[in-house]
Amino acid sequence: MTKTQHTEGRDRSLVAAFVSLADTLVDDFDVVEFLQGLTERTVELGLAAETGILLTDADGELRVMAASQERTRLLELFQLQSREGPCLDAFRQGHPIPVDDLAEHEARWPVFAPQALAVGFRSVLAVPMSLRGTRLGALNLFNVDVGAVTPEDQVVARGLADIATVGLLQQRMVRETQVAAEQLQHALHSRITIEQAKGVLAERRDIEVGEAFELLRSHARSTNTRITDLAGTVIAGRDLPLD
Amino acid sequence: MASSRSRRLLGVLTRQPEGDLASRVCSAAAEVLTCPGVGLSLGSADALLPVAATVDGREGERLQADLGEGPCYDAWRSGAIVAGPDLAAASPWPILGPALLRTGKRAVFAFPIAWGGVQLGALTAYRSTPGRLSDTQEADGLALAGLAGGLLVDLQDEPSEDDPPNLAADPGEGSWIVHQASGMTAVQLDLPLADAMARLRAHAYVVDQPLETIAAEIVARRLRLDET
Repeated sequence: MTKTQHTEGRDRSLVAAFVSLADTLVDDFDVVEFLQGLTERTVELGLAAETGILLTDADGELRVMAASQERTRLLELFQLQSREGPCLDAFRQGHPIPVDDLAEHEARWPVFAPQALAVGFRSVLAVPMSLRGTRLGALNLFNVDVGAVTPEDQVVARGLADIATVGLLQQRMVRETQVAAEQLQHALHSRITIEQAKGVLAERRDIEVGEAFELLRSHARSTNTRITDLAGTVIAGRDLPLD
Repeated sequence: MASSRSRRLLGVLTRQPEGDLASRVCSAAAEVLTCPGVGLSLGSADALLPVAATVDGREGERLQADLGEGPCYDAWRSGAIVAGPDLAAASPWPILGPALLRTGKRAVFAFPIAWGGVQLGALTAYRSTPGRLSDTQEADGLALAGLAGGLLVDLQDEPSEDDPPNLAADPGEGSWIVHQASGMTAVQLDLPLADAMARLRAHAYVVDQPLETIAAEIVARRLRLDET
């Protein structure tokens, strides 16, 4: 196969990979499935023998979110536990970390490098997943050969990491919007429940609705219950526990 | 990136006289839809609460809330525009239609207010003349209802753990008293809350009084439905 033919084949798979990633950015978006798909695309494109992805969780802690194979998942976990490795460096520094030969970097990553070599990896490319200052995580491409990652591969890997980042940020925004809208609806619902409970309690105890509310509130405070939950209990047919 | 329609409608919104957001949305809708009566209601579970209305829209919003039917409910539940372009010729709402006609309204249009995939309520426009809205007006109404959803969600307070939650747009004491009365009636008649609310609505309809008035009588213990 000539270089040109090889490149054309690569271009076609690359387009297919981008399209398949974009396709997952529609309804029923599942983050884990999306990232798992991304790791598989990188392997299919010949960018890596195995690929892993670290992503920050809601608390900003990095977690292993996807791995093309189990040994990669373990390696990623080792990086997190030992707090060292190219993936963490790429995440912290915000630029790709290409490592042609891990054997030359045992001093740089005394825990990670020997472990990666022991399971048969020789070179790594870690690409940060970030957009305009928002750091989401990093994509890690593991290879068994020295110097396996070409500059062209780096460009492709960055492209994939970027599209994945945009997808994840968009998904996060959609989710946040939905949560905010649900909060508004929940607030309305809570308020209705409380008003109904005031009526129920006022009638049961033959008191005014204002007093019923004070009773609800003080009972919620003394039992460390949320007033909405307590109101729900009252309207479900149970009275306040006698105090 | 706001579209030119959104920008234009935001312009109309900000030009409205002082008032809370929901009221401004109503008066802005009245302007772009050329319907003097507009009301905004927010919904939760099976209850829809009138939050704001132009002077000319108050009676229609009250009627829909009292009767528990109307385009506002339909738009809220379906997420689609609901139109009754000539209530004298055909009304999909057997009780509300004639009631609106008696108050001088001939056509009614409701636009769903949704945000983040959550159906939040509806914006309803009332007019004394029959006829459909233009395509532009329909698109404007939808866009305005969409803007209202986003702004109401954005402007709400952080959810609190304690006490009744603060609402971005408070329907006011009158709406809440209806729910207090349904709680009292549920105990008096030993009925589920939804049935108690239906009994309240039926009573208000039969005696031809606003639901809020009946509710206030019940909460003040001047009226019990088991004695009527």
